[in-house]
Amino acid sequence: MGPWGGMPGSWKRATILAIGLGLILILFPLYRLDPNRVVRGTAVFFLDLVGSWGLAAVGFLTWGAVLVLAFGFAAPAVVAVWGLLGLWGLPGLVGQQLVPMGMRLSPELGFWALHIWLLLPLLLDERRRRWPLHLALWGFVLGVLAFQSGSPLSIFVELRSQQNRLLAELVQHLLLSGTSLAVALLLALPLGVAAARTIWGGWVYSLSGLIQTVPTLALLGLLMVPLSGLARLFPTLRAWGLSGIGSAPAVAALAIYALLPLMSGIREGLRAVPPQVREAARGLGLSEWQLFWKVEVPLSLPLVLAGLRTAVVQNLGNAALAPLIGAGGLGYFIFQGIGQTSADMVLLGVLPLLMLTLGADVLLRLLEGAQSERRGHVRAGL
Amino acid sequence: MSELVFEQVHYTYGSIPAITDLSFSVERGEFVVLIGPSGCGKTTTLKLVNRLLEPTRGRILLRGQDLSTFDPVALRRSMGYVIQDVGLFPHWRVEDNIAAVPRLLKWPRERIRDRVREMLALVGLDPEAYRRKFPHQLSGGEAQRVGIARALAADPPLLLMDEPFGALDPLQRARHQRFLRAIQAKVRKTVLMVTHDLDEAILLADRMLVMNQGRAVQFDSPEAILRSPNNAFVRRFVGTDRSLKRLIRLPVTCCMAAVHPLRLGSDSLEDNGRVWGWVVDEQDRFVGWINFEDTERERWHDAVTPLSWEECATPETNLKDALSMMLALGLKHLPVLDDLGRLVGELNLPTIESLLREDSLES
Ligand SMILES: Nc1ncnc2c1ncn2[C@@H]1O[C@H](COP(=O)(O)OP(=O)(O)O)[C@@H](O)[C@H]1O
Ligand SMILES: [Mg+2]
Repeated sequence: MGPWGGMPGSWKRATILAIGLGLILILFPLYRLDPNRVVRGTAVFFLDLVGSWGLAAVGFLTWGAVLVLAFGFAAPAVVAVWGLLGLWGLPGLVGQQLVPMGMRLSPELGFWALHIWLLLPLLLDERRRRWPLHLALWGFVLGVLAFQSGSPLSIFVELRSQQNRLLAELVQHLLLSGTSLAVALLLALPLGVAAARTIWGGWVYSLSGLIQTVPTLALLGLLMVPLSGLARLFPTLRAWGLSGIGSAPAVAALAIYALLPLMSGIREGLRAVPPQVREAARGLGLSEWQLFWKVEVPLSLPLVLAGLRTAVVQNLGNAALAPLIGAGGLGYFIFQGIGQTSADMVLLGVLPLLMLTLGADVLLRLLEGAQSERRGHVRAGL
Repeated sequence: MSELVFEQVHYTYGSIPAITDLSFSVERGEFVVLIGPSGCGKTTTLKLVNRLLEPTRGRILLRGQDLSTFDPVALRRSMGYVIQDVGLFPHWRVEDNIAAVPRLLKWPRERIRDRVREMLALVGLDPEAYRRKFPHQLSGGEAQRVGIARALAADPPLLLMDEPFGALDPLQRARHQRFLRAIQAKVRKTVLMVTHDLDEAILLADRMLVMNQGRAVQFDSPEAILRSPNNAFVRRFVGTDRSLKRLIRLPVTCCMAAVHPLRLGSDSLEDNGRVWGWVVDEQDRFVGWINFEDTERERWHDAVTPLSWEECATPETNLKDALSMMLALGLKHLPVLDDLGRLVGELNLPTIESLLREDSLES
C-alpha cells in the first residue's frame, strides 16, 4: 500500500493540488511592483501580501477552502475559478490603497505558474468533461470585468489607457473574420457539393488543400501583388477601398484559408451518406432536389458543422496576422507589444482573442450537440 | 394485358453486359421470383423496372405502355421498392420512414397516420412500441420489416423486393416467409422478388425466373422447373434433391389421413385391429399416443406417451418440413394440429414415399 493508504482518488488529487499551490505561493513571486511601464521594480511574494493585505487574503483563502469542501466533487473547477478570481481580482479589490499612485503590479512567475497549476487538473480530466474548464474560464472573465476598474494590475492599467483602441480593434477583428467567413461559406457551399460529386470539384478541393500548405503570412504577402495591381488598373475599385494592403487582401487570404475546412466538412459529410440510403430515396421516388434537401443535407450536417467550427476557430486566430498588412484587428496589440517588449500589451490582444475563439468553439459545439440530439442517434464511427 | 413485359432487354454497365436479351412477362397479381447465382443480373433487372437504370436496348412495358414514357419519379412512387440493404433513413423515425411515399404523394395527415399504424400492424410490429423508434434501435429483422412496410405504405399495385430477407438467420427467414405469404394472401399485389435461396423461391413463387449470366434460362412454375429443368444449368442449380424440393410446395393437408383418436375419460380401449393410437382430451386437444400391446385395458390412461407441440405438424407445414421432422424424430406417423391444438389428421411416411416415387417416374 502506497503512502496514500485508502484515500479516495479525488482526495488524493485535492491534496496534491493543495501542496503544489502552497509551494508555488511560497517559492515564487506573484507580482512585481513597477514604478512605470519601462522600469522593473521589486518582486512581491505571497507572504509579503499576507503581511500587508493581511485580512483580505486570509479571508479569501478561508472562504475558498470552505467552497472546496462544500463542492468536493467539483473541487478542481471551484479551486480554479476561485484562484483565478483571486489572482486577477484581489489587486483591484484591495490593492488600490497599498500600491502607490502611478505604480503598477506586473504579473510574475508565480502568477503564471498558478494558472497552469490550477487549470491542469481540468485539462487532464479523465472523464473528458469540458464544463469544468469552461466554468473556470468564464468565472475568470467575469472576475476580470468585475474588478478591473481602478486595479493596479499592469494589464488593467494598460487596458484603461487603450480602452477605445481595444474596442476599435475588436470590432475590426470581428469584421475581418465575419466578412471572410461569409465569403468563404458562399464559395464553399457550391464548391463542397461539387467536390463530393464532380471531378473538377475534386480538383478545386485538392487545390485548396495545396493552398493550405502556404504559410498564412506568405499568402498575405502574395495577395498584395495582384490586388494592388487591380487597384492600379481600376481606380474605381481603389475608391471602394481595394488596395494591396488593408482589409481587402486580409479578407481574401482569410477566406481562402477557411475554404478548405468548410469544403472538406461538406465533402466528407456528403460522402458519409450511406449509398443504400441514397438508392432507397431514389427508388421510393424522391426527386434529386428532395434527395438533397431531405436526406443528404440532414445526414451530412454533423460533419458540415464540425468543418464550420474548425474554420471559425482557425479564422479568428489567423486574423491576428492582419495588422502585418495594415488591416488591424486584435493582432495590433500583439505586434505592438512585441515591438515594445510589453507583455501587458501582448496580453491585451491575446486574452480577448482567446475568449473569442473559446466562445465560438463552445457555441458551435452546442449547436452540433443539439443537432445530433434532435436526430436522436449517435453517428457510428464518424 | 400483362402487368409487366420485358422485350429483348439489354443492359450494360459501361462495356460490361449485365442483362442480355431478357424477355418475360408478369401477369397482374402474380408473385414472380428472380433467382440465380450472385452477379447474374437480378438486382439490375429490378432497377430497370423502376427506372433507376434505363435499358441499353429493348423495351419494357407497364400495363401495355412503354416504361420510358412515364415520369420516372412518379413511376417510382407507384411501385413499392425494398432494396437489398434495407436502406432506412437513419435520421427519420420508423413512422417517418413508412410515411415517406404517402407524404411525397401529399396524402392528408390523418390518413398517413392511420396508414403508418396499419402498415406496422401488417408486418407484425406493435405500432405504439415501434412508431417513434429510430432505425438504429431496430434489430436486423425489424428493420427489414419496416423496409417492407415502407414499400407497401402507398398501396402500390407493383412491389419490387431485392432479397428482402437477406440479413436474417434461417429461423427468422422462415417466419418472415410465412408472414410474407400471409400478407400476399391479404393484399394481392404483383410482386417481383429477388432471392438466391432456392427453397424460399419454391415456397413463395407463382413463377420463377431462373437467370444466369444476364440471361433468362427458364421461366415457369416451381413445380414445372423442379419436374423438368430445361437444361444442365437449371438441373445443377436446383440440385439432385429436386424431387424432395417439390415437397416444399405441398401442404400436409394434401395427403393427410383421417384419424380416430381415443378420448381421455370417455372412450374405453377396444380392439380396433391397430397396435397403437392417438389420444386427445375431452376438448379434442391432442395429448399423445398409446401403444395397445402390453397395456392393461382398465389403466390405459397411464400408458399415454405425450408428444410436445414441436413434434407435430400444422396444416400450413409443407411436406418437406414434415418429412424432415419425421426422419429426425424417427416417426412413421405425424399428427397434424390446428391453431387450437386439436388433432385434425395424420401424415404417413408411406404416403410421402409414394409421392416421391411418382415424381421420379415422371422425370
Ligand atoms: N454499378 C455497377 N457498375 C458496374 N458493374 C456493375 C454495377 N452493378 C452491378 N454490376 C455488375 O453487373 C452484374 C449484375 O449485377 P447484379 O444485377 O447486381 O447481380 P445480382 O443482383 O444478381 O447479384 C454483376 O456482374 C455486377 O458485377
Ligand atoms: Mg443483388
